[in-house]
Parts: sequence; C-alpha cells; structure tokens
Amino acid sequence: MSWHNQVLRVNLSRGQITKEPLNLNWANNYIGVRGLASKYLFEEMDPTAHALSPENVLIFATGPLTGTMASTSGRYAVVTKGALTNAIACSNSGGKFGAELKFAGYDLLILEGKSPDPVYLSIVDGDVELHSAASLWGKSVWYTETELKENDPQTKVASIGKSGENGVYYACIVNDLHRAAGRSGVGAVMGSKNLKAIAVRGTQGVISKNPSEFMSVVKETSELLADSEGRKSLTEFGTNAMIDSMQAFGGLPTHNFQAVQFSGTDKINPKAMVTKKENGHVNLLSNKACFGCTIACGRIAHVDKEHFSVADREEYWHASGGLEYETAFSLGSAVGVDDIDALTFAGYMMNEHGMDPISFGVTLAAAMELFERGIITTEDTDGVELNFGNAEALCTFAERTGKYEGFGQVLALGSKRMCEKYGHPEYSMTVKGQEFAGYDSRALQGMGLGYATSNRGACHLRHDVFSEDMEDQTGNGKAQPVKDTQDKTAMIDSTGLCLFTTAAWDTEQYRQLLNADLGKTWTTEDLLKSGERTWNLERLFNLKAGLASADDTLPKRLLEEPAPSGVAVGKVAELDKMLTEYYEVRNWNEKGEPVEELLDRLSI
Amino acid sequence: MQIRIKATGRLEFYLSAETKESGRLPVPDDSTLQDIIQLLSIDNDARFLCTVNAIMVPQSQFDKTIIKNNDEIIFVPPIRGG
Repeated sequence: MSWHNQVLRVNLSRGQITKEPLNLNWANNYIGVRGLASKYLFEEMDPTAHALSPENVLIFATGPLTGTMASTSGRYAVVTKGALTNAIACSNSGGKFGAELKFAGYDLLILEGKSPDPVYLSIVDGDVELHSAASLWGKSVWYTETELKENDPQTKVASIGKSGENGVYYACIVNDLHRAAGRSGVGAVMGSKNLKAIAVRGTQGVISKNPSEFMSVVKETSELLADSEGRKSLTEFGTNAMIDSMQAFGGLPTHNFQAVQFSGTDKINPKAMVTKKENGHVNLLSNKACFGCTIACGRIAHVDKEHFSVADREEYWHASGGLEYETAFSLGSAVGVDDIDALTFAGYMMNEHGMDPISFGVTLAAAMELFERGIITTEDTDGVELNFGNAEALCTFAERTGKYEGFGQVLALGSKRMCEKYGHPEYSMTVKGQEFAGYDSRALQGMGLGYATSNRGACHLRHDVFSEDMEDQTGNGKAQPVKDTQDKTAMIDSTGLCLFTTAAWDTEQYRQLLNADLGKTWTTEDLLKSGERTWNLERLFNLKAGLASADDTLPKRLLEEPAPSGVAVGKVAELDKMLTEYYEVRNWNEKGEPVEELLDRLSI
Repeated sequence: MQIRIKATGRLEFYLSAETKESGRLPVPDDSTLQDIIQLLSIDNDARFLCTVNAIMVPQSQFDKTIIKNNDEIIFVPPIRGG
C-alpha cells in the first residue's frame, strides 16, 4: 500500500529529528494530504497561537496516491495556521517535490518550534540532517535551489525567498523553481521558523497493495482523462484559456474589481502567448507537466530580451514558468496591465522571491485604487505614479516586494492590512484576509458563497460550481452544490492527485484508485463523508482560532456595487440569502458552528 | 444578414479562418441560435455555453432564440479551476 507508514518529525528549537508510525486510524478517516494533515494540526497545536510564533506547526503532507502511477500524482500540501489569514491554511503544490518526499520513505513531515539560527533540512532516504543556512539566508528561491542541487541534480527542493524570511504575509514555498504552495502565507510561517529550505532525495518508490488491479484502474482512468475536452483544453491552452471565457462572460475582475471586463484581454490571452511579435519574439515556449501528470497544463515562457524589464539583465533571458489564468488576472486585469512581457517578468519575480501572485497582484490593485483616489501619493510609493495600467510599476514593485524594499514593505502587508493602514478597508478585495482569485462573485454567485465560506480565506479551488454559475446568474439553489463540492474537493485534495482530474473523473474514479492502491473497500459515500469531515474539522480549527460567522462575508463592493457590464450587469452578490441556506444544508447553527449531531455523525 | 461571432478555447476550431479573422459570419435571415450552431457544425457532444449580446442563453432556448442582423454571439467552453 502506498503509505510508508512513517512520519518524520523535526523539532527546530531543539534540533531534534525523530521518526514515528503514521496514525493509520486518522488516515482511515481523513485519507491523506489536506484531511490527514489538518487532523494532525488540529490535535497538535493550539489554534489561538500566533501564526508566526514557534507554537505554530508546519506540515508537509503527501497522500496515499502521491508518487504512484495514477495520473497527476505529484501533489503534496503544506498545512499550518496561515500568516495571511490567521485561519487554517492548506496550500497545495505540484512539481516533483511531493513524490520525492514519498520516495524518501515519509508520508508526512512535521516541523515544530523555531531554529535559533537559519537552517535547511536535508533528507536522503533515511539520513536526515539539519544544516546551517547562513550562506543561503537572504538569497532567492532560484539561488537556493540551484545551490542545494549542486551535489545531486536529482535532489528536489522546496524553499523560501527573502520574502518568506521577512514575513511578507503572502510569501509562499516554491518547489522545482516554479511550482508553489502558494496561498495563505505558508512561506512566512516557514521563514518564522528560520527554515530556509528542505532538500530531499528518495530512492524507495511506492508499493501498491494490489499492483495489477491498481495498474488496470490507472490505465482506465488515464484514458478517460485523455479523452476529455477539459483535459485537451488544459494541455493546449493552459489554465489561461479561461481568460477569454471570463472576459466574454463578464466575470474577469478588473481594476481592483471596479470592472468585470478588461479591454486588454486579447494582449494577454493564450493567443497572445503564441503570437510572434515584430521582432520575432514569441512568449510561449512549451507546456510542462508535474510528476506523473498526463495533462501538462503548465506553461514555460520567456521574456522578450528587448523588453524594458530585462533589456539590461541577461540573467532573466532564460525560460521559466509562464502565464496561467490566475497570474494573467492578478498581474494583468486586476492592475490593468496588458503588457505580456511585464506580466511574465512579474511572474518570474513571484517565483524567484517566493510570493503568491494572486495576493500580490490584488494587493497592488488596491494600492493603485488608493493612489487614484488620492489616499496615497508618490510620497508613499517611492515616487512611482501608481496608476492602473502602469507596467513599469508592476515590474518594479513585484521585485521590491520580493526583496522587501521601499513601498514593497507596505505591499508585503497584503490588501487587508494595507487598506486598514490607510483607513480604507473597503478597498480590500479579500475574505478572511486572503485576496480573491480571478472570478467576480457578482457574475458567479455560487463562487461568492464559496469565497465567503472557504476555510482558508477567499479561494476558487475549495468548491466547484462553475457550471451552475454559468447557467444561472442568481443565488438561487447555490448553497447545496457549494456544500457538496466543498466536501468533494476536500476529498480529492486528500488523495495526492490534482483537482484538474475533475475534467473527466467523478468520485467513482478516485474510489477505484484508492481502493486498489490501499486495499480498501471504501464506497463513494465513505469518501464524500471523509471530505465533509475534513471541511468541518477545518471549520472547528478556525472557530477555536477566533474566527466567527461574521468572517463569512464579502467586501462591501461586491455586496453593494452592481456589476457594470457582462451577463450579470446590474447584479450584486446575493450572499445573505445563500449564506442562510448554506448554514442549514451544512447543519450548522446560526453562529456557523457545527451542531453536536453532525460532529457525532462525522466522528469528529 | 451578418452576425458578429467569437468562440474561445477549443470551440474556436469550429470557426473558419476567415470568420476568426473578421469576427463576422453571414447567416440566413430569421436564423435561430440552433440554426447557427448547426451551420458551424458544432458537435452536439461538445459542452459549451453561449451568450447573445452578452446575455446567457440556456440550451433549452437555442431553437427559440431568433438572431438579428449584427447580433453578437459568443461560444464559451465550460469553465473550472485555474
């Protein structure tokens, strides 16, 4: 079975490294990754502890299917109390790091305490050591990863940049140069522990309980995925295919959500990525897959050498991670920039310095609105005219925030803290302190409910009601599908597979893969109940941390300012109606607390 | 009459190079949305959403929606994730 039945625990305060058996009872109830690590976090830390204190616990978690032959099996997650949100954080990443951690023989890596000095953790199968990171502290993700792979190029590295060291609230943990556990500030938590990086090399592989049955299911499910239209679109266009759809629909947040359609979309969409410029430069070079993935939605791009951002900086002429939908939105329409090379360069800065592009872009968008309204001036912004559409400002502050310099130190606060600092919290487009993704909840009503109730703050990947939202622009009947898909998504996030498999798979496919791999007899109901258990456990963590039903809300702009165009023109988010219904279908009381009967049914 | 037309993602494959370039398509007078979908040979199994002049049209209304000269039709693949 694809558990090694081993947890690696590192107490950074004491420099103590121990190994212990995986709690298989918990794995039986919570599957793995998101669910299982949430259970460990819930049991091991005081939710009221400060996110950047030594009392916070940082967990790197794989799932039973991580590292197997199942398609998209490269996923792992970082679970902790989020620096950005003060809520439970589960930030999922692809690349190859997760599978390598599994191959080294570990299902979970639990990091406690705080090292007195900067360190990195080296894992080579059973040999685990802490080393001084004095020579790496202050260096970028790209420098750190290159250094730690020098002796063995097969080593996989997850690290933070200067942003994580300095507590940029949305600092992320980057692995494989441009894949990231991106959301909620998990990189800031890692930095607060004086942990610069984790370098892992594993040679042990994984073993399924029923190999022949597992391979048969892998073949069937992979073929199903290969034949699906959703998979074909992701392979060919990447996630950025959605920018044209959202532009046509009128759900593309623009100018800090003051508009829902962006005039520059044609300059940053998938077609623009493959269009040859007059000087012959083409942005997109290829697509790229994570470990075990048969979708390959990732984009590899390069910045035009003649572009102002890199013209005299040859070190940025190489290929690296290119535009995805969320970066095209957050570094593009949100800030009104339609210069594809500027977006690509800003994306490089996010990866090199380890920051969440969604949070950075939406924070910069709020700063631009504050600037255009005269609330901040060039005296605040290092002399930069911070108007929407200023591509140079985007590139400048992407780099300065990553290096924690100048006005970048203010942008490092995130949108909520920054807008509060200037006395205008109404311009912060966040829920529970986390910035919105690229979907406007006036056009996509169920998305709005999903944002408001997401346990990790505003997130588009915690539910899946796109179809319902596209077909009906009201809040009617959205609560039940939001609840159902939240539970289902929590289950999928706990397997070790990518959410994009939902392009073709339903719960049945995950059931077949898990049962063959683990020798289980789970039903689809068992799996969905596990997802519901995870969702409610996350909710309980947040309630204990001090969050309340008042945090299940949306910014005033989305509740009161009608969408100015698109299919939902004139509409606002119908949250109140949906939220009341949502608490009912969740079996939560009016305070948003799970009732005892529910907790008993879920065995929490 | 002529209509303005756009398709995104893989749905763009149903448009000719000329239509993609001009963004316009000649269609018979009094065509319904269903007639235009058939004219473009859009696969019945292809899942898509459609707006006419920025208003979403449910699939059940395709054969009841009469298209007028210069109307704008946009075909959008179903969206998820990202």
